[in-house]
Amino acid sequence: MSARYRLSTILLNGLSSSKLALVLVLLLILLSIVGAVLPQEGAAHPILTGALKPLGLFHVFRSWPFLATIFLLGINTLTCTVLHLLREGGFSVLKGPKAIERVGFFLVHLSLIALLSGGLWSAAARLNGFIVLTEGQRGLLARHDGSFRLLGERLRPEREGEFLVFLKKVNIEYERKRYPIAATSHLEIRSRGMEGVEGEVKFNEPIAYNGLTFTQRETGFSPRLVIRDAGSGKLLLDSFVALKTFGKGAEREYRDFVPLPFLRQRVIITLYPSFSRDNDTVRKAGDAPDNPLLLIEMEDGSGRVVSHGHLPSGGRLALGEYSFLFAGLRRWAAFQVVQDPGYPIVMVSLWLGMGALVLRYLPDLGRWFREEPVRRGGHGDRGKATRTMDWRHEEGIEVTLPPTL
Amino acid sequence: MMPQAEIILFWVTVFAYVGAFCLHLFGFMGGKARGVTYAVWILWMGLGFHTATAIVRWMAGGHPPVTDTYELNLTGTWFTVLIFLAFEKVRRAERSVGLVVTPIVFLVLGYGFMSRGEPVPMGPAYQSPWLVVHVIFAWLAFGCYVISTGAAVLLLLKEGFPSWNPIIKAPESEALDLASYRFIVLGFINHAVMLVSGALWAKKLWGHYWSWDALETWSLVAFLVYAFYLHARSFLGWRMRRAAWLTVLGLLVVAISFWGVEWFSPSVHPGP
Repeated sequence: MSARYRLSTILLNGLSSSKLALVLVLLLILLSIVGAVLPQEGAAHPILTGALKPLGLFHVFRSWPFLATIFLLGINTLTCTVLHLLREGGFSVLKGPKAIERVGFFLVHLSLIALLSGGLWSAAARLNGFIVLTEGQRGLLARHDGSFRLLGERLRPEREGEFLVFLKKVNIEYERKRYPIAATSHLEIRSRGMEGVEGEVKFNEPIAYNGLTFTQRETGFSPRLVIRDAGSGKLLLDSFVALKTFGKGAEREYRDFVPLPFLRQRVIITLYPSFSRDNDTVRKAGDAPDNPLLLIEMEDGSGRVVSHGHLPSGGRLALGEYSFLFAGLRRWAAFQVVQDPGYPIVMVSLWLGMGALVLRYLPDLGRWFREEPVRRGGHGDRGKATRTMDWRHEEGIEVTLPPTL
Repeated sequence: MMPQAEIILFWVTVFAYVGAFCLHLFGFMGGKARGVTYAVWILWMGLGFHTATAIVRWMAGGHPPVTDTYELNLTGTWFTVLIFLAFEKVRRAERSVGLVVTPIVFLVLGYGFMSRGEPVPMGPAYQSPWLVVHVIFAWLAFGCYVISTGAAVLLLLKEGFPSWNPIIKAPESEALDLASYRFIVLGFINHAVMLVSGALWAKKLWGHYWSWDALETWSLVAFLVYAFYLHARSFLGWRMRRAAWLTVLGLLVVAISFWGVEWFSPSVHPGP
């Protein structure tokens, strides 16, 4: 036996080792725990970040140790499955007694290989984007720095790979005027040289166009706000401001600050879609925008509210050095845009894996619960036949390990 | 506010489960088969009230009780008790695992009650056929893992204190080990269906089949722990005490994924 042959045998046995599989699974568990416990993507901790960043622990799921572990697990599963097949006489191992369980066993591993391949492909080739549009707004969607970005308002796509996205309308249905129960965005998407698509996007019902999936993620309110300098009347802002949505159910709030750095004070806007007054206190009465009201608050540098006022739809308010006009109310919708070539492989592997697990264990399950129970103990078993089980033969198929293990 | 009937039914359910636990304990400590038999009857009664509580909640909210922590715990423990009672019917010999299952059930119910809120209509994000599949299989998996852990705990007691009088009458260690393994297999299959249905739903709802969200990740960690268990059992012959400790560890990870994540990580996932 040549040294080269011996080396490749050792390498192959090592790579297909079930102990290696256990170590890799353990490593995946540990890395996943780190990823779930430590804040991911852009964490900034005064001490921790400096110490742990070089190890990639603030982006664990994209770090090389994690990807290498997945890659090695894929290789390990592949070599292990192929070697088992070869050492046990090829596909003839799938015949004979417990053939279904054996087929299930090999399909489980095949699906795992497909899942890991699809997952790695997704990680390498997937493109994402998160876009927010207000009703009536159109934006040009294009690839930029490895993701999809809105590049501003255009009338038509100018280059290949660019998409014009137009949000025509957002409809929300409410129950008892309080709880949103359905949200539908009417979207038009076009790209250069291709027929456009126009349709409805709902939660759980995305729209697909030219390899891209548009998923509705959130909806909210965009009040149109006009701000002028109170003294000179100079226009400072005339725009729809997409307010963030906080909380859920009856506690839902619509609030944000006006992103204008040249304002001397920070302006916070809170929207009551409909409101009720109790003496001087204003309360949100519901989420349907029947009777909208804006609360304008101005904060000083320390975050203390120095002045505030309420502004009904169409109303004007002078507050400090500025005057505010609530000129209208529209809705916004946020969409996740995804192009993921690995997804079909992942889906096939998941379905295959589920079927394989059933094949692997279903014949056993029937047998397990048909057999007579063990009786040695005295906790409530009366009048049943007794039999001591040989548990070594109750776990389904026996898998012969390679002699080197 | 919760309807009064729901609160009454809920507390009757909890007391029935506490009673079943006391009778289990009495039967176990005294070696009285009758105590365990009464405990099982009380559990059936508790399950009846539990079902009624869930139905009242369903009617008040207009949807299956699966959308907040209280509702999820209510539904999940219902599945756990149902699985245990079905198991008890088939395998009476290992019914003493109820000693571990019943306290877990009423503790989970009590924890859920602490975060109860008024029933609200189902939000648009929840309106997917995958919701019911995802939630049901998650709790079926949980129920199986709880029963598996019950058998593992009894095994550890039996191996750790072989001369302790009550444990002598417990089922054979081999039978407990086997019961634990079988419920892990059942739980593992349900867990797989839960993860796959979750991935399919997530693709429709969020655009990604997997986001490495904290709750998703912990759920995957739990799945990997059980995969590790099955692999170690098949290939390295891990059984009895070693396997039992791994089973207990598995349930701890499952508990973190169900209730612990919200304590230390933000999650886009509406968890239990």
